[in-house]
Amino acid sequence: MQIPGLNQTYGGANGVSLGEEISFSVYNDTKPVVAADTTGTRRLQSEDQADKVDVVLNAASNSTAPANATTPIQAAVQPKNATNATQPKSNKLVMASTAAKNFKFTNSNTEFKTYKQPVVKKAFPNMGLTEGGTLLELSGAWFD
Amino acid sequence: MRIVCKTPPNDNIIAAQPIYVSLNGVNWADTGFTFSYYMQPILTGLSPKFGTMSGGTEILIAGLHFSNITDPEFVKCKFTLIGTGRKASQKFIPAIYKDQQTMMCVSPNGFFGGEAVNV
Repeated sequence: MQIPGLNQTYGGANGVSLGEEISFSVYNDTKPVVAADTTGTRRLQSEDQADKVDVVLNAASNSTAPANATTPIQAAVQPKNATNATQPKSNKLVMASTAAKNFKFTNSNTEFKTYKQPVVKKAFPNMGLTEGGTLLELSGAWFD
Repeated sequence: MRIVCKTPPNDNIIAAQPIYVSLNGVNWADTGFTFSYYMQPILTGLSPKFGTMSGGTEILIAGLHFSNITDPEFVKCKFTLIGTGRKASQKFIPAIYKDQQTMMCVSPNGFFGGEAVNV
């Protein structure tokens, strides 16, 4: 399963498969990567749908994390043959919020870093050849 | 702090393109600045080819693809002394857009009689 978008972050590609347990960090931004459903579990009908899953987090992690902080959020993917009450009958995948305490979590050593919105104070030059290749310099703050 | 990037090719010489930046390739921020494209001008001639030492002669430069969307602050004629051992600094004079085939510069002073300059 490939978590959408995470291969485009500082954390690099992040993949899990059925039966694995993962944990990861998210950032508090104006566009949080949080599903509308912030409690409980999100269940998938098959592994084919795994790449469409939303990360489900608890509400506290979504609203109180300070800027530039990495907030550890844990999710779990249940093994196929799990026998607890939330396990679907066949090949179903479950991702759970931190509110779900009946899962065992392990650290994936994957980071999701936060950053402030970059601010550009100057752009020079403001014109160039149609062929491209003009070195455009943007000066400002919060570029790292 | 600064970011430096190479502009991509773009044939749109009419509209200025907005500049966005992203630190993760997903979320893009509008900088509020724009970038305009112009075609490389082709120079075909200038007139007159003589002027007074004191300068002030209006030199009409003929060519193709002159544009008035470029910033006049950075559109200039450069006069460089040639054909003599004397050292003289280059002189930069603002170029005035007339039309797509014509620009105009006023000749500077500082060159001696009989000296040739490259424009």
